[in-house]
Amino acid sequence: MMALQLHLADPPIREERLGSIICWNGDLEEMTQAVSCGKLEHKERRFAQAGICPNGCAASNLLSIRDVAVILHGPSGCSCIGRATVGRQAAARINKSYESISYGDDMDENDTIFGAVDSLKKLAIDVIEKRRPKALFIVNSCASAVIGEDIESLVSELTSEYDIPIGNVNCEGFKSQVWFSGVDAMDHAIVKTLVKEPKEKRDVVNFINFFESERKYLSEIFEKLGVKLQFLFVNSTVEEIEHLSEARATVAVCSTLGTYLGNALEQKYGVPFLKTINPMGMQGFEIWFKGIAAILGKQREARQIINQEREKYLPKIEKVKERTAGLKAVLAMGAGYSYEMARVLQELGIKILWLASGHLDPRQDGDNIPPAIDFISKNSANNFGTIISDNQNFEIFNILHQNQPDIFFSRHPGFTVWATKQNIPAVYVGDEYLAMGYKGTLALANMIVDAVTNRSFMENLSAHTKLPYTDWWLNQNHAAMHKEA
Amino acid sequence: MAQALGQQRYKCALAAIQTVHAIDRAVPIMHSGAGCAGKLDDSFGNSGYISPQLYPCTCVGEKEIVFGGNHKLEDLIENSLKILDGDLYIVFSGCASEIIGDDIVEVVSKFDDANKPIVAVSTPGFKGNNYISHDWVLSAIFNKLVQKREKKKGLVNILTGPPYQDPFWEGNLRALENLVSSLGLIPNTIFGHARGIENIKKLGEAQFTILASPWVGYESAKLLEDKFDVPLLHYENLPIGAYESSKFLRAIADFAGLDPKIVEDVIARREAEYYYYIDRFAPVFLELRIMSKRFAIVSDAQYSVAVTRFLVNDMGMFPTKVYICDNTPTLLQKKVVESANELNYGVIADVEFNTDGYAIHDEIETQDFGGSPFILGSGWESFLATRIGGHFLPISNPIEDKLIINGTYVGYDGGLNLVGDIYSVGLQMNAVQ
Repeated sequence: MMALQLHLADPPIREERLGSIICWNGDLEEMTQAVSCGKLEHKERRFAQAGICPNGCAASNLLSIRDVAVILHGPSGCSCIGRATVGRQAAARINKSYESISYGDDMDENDTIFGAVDSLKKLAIDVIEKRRPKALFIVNSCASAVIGEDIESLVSELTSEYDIPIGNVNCEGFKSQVWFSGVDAMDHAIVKTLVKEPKEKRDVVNFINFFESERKYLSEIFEKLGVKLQFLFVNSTVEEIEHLSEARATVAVCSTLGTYLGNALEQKYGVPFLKTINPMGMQGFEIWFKGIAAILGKQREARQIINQEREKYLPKIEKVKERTAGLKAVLAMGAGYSYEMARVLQELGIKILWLASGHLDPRQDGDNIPPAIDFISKNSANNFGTIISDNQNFEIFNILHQNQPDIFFSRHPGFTVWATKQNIPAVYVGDEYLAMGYKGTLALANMIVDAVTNRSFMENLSAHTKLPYTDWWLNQNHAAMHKEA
Repeated sequence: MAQALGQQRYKCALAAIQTVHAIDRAVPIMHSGAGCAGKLDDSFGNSGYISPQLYPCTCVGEKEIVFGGNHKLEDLIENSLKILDGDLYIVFSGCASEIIGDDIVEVVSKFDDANKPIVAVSTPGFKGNNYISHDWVLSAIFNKLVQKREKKKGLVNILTGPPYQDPFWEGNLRALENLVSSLGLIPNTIFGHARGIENIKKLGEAQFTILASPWVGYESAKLLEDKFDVPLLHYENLPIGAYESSKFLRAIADFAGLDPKIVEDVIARREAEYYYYIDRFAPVFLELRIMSKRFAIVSDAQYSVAVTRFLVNDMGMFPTKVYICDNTPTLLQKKVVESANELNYGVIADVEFNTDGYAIHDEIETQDFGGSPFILGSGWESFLATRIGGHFLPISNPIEDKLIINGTYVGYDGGLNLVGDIYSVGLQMNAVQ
């Protein structure tokens, strides 16, 4: 594997860099075997459903920073990246104001013929001069990419005229089928445009996460290890990002999310990136927390915290486990979380029947097998069906229909309702901290018991709705639309 | 020409998938990038019989950009018919598939013999916004499914703004149906619960069509008149409250040639009930300590006109300024301004067409509301209201902190709902100030 090419205008997409795939069918053993010998072959589909594009992913993640401007150079659908609700709520939680702004430039038919870099330039100047953001990013789109708009030259020109960092993210929607390529493109632009050379080492750990709902708890336990956390990118500021190179280490709540940025900071500035399973569940929390403590030389403090947590929560977990043990589950989540969650569910004695992961990175940027896959391949209680399915509802629906699990877990928005309507209890794992550590494991276990106990909402809904899939499809194998390689 | 879109309130042409989503058992098929459906059909209430996560999609990638995607689309349509049980399938094109020259009409023509109707509609995002493409997709569907039929006495089609883009779409349609029914006419609508393809086919049997909208939806409603002999009553306002609802009922009765006495009886009854409630609550409207009588609106033409007319003609208030952000075509702007200015006592609404929300907010900040500012608009305006210590009520897309299930501000009851919501906002603020 090659080192990250941080000098390039854009990073290579995950398919090229990591061999990532979005369609495959088999079981855990076959998959891990294929991963370890590098023989995992992507399959095409004859039928697919809409998913998520890397472009929107890059643009909306940029807007989780609190003081930037983002201009999306494209038609009005692409720039429709919302009101950064999550960023605003997160800022309000820590009593900070959210100042980032987003513009589209409403590219029209004429612009696709004659180009629109001139009007983009006018808009960019207007935004810099009137809105005074701390940094500006220009993001392209399918339309601007197909007609070959030269945003990079515009960015160089503007950079020479204005004294704020200005970057561009080239990640048009069709460029990659893996939406995480959008996160990489954004991370690449941030490392290139914002992160400065270190001046001093600081007692800070970079913490890559999504929505930081456990910010308070994490800050407290890391304080005991003698470091402050720099949460990324929700609630971060340009000034804070400039110092990422000075941190003692980088950790990620999800290594699929953090692989590019974590490895880039390690490669360019020597900031170690922790490559272990994530803190979900009990084993995850211990391995992850001890791992970071080892980098910081604070193993004793970490053991103390872990012991306190065990004492406080383990008896309660053991009790509720009596009710979760033996349940059969199907889960559909991202390339990292699906395997992390499978591990947590097995800790609660739940049997995994099928696992659907949104894509698969056979390797991560540190040339390692994704830690959660490595862990479960060595420790799983049983072999189970595994499908790589980029939010393909019809495949997951079919698996549910044919396996009738006791419970379904999903991290794909809009999916739990399709299990519920089949009369299968569903738990949405939307918050990445839902199952963190002993406390989170207990919360998850209680949520599972609740879901399988009070079946009222599910039964009411399923009794009054009709399903849109044909009987023909429900009787096919879930992978029937995969083309033979 | 590209223009500054700050704080977006509309989406691109491909968001016409939302119009199709509102038709019961209709299935959008997308020849676009994988992310378009999720991004464009992301409103609350977007699940149901089908949801954007289920829309068939070619997920255009580098390979299709280089080699074309017609073949992939053909495969997709063929399997969509086998996998998803729908009454109607609409094939949409996106930016990339259009620029590289894929021909969705030709691909769809290969399915002329399919036992379900399939319609192609060209909707690359750069061709316009979803207020315009709503008309394109409806025209394409009408051309395929509507036939010139013998007219059924009393049957009236009702059309208004785009579903989902208008968060109140379903409640509004039900309220318009109630108004039309109250005159003894039979309403026919095509969107929402238990309507669907059968009602689309009935469009050609109607005695006339009412389009209650300043400008959106005109092209498809006019198509019903020109091609299927269904006369069009283009009523350029969505009626909110007693004053506007009564005016609306009289316009319909006049167009339908109904006995004026019947109409006046209905109006008298409805107004008596409406003002019974207003009377009981009038002291709140008259005496709420911190609410002024002036308001600003930042919305689309439909709600800007409708809410301005309601607040001025029903509630006796004054607009500081009305900002319309839906990219109303230049040629139609004059009529929209006129409609917004059908106001009593010489009150004038200063209307500005602008798509840059940040610039609009800068201006509102400097306006004199004669008290605490009151702003109606989208969720974007809630940030402005917080910043300048004003009142805020969401009336148009995007609304992210309120669920509108079957709520509506249309009609007599709708007016009561709106006035109730407005003063509830005032009461909450009253408590903290």
